[in-house]
Amino acid sequence: MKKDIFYPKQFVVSLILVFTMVFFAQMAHAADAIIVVRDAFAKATPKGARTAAIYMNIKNNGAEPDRLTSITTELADKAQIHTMTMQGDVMQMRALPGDLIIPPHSSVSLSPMASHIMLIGLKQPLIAGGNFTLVLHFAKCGEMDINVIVKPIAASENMNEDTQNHLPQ
Amino acid sequence: MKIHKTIYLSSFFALGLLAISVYLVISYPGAGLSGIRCMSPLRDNADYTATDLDGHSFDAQTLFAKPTLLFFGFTYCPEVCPTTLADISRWLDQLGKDSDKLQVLFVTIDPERDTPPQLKNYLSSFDKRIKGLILAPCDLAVMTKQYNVPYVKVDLGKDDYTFDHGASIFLLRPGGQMVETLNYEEGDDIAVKKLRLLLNRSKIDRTN
Repeated sequence: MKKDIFYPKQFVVSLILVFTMVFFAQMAHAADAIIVVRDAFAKATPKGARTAAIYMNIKNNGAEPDRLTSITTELADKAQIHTMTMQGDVMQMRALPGDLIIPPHSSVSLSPMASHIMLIGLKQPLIAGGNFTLVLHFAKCGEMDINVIVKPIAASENMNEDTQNHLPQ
Repeated sequence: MKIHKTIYLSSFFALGLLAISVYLVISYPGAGLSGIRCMSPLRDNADYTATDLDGHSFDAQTLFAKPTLLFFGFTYCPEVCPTTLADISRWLDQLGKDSDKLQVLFVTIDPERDTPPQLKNYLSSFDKRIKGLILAPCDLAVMTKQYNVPYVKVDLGKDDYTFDHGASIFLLRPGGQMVETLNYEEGDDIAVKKLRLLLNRSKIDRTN
């Protein structure tokens, strides 16, 4: 008499194997995405504008700090990280001296009225509804291409709940 | 020995005072700005010549025939100026027909880079009622001093620069007297209310 084809023991073992594999694959993927950039946007620029500001949220899931060392794009001659502060009614903008540090297990938010990546020598206007590529160079994570969407000039601030960590002073 | 020490200390103190005063003079808005030296001293009557983008010249007396919204900025400004110009454009729409009675002036604090064609092109992205004004550096120093608008050139390396600048908007009666200011990103409701108040007040001034 032929036995039933279904072998419960073997089935359970293979199930465990599959789950283990999936688990390790997930782990490997998580290790890849130590730095996660979200909500990257710029505001549309007026005609003839030679500068533009880009905002985003950079999250470091790793246990080590990383540093954003430089930014490049084909759209502009150069890109700098700038901090903005309001002293009374005077808007002050400064290039960040050195690299932008992304502490472990936290995120750094570049947002209007706080800090931004400033494009200098913009080669073409940014048009609302469009998008472009920005290359972020991290000391540990290496190069990362991110997609920046262009919002209308009067776009309201990007309100993230996950943005407690602002730029170090 | 003790006297020597006193002299030594007091001269040190005097040097310190001198350094502080030099710093204050240099950092005073309008004095060391843009590295431009005003050859003529600031005139007492606060007069200046301003030129619009069609080449018409005005002085402090003829510039403010109408109630005016006045804003200082520059086209290389990445955030505050385009946002403010977009805000102003929206307020003008909300004012509707009344906006005809208002003069809207955008004065560049960067006449070096904001040439008439550059400023004209830039402003074409905003409401047509916003008028661009260019002043020679010395005239600009007079006008900004009159409205107490600080602006300081900040080096960004390799010939690039930006400005720290006052972000307030000024509302002026006909004649140029400031009656109200609007803060950066003032809410639409408050801004439009203040603009209507300015227009109504100016109407009363005219009838009296």
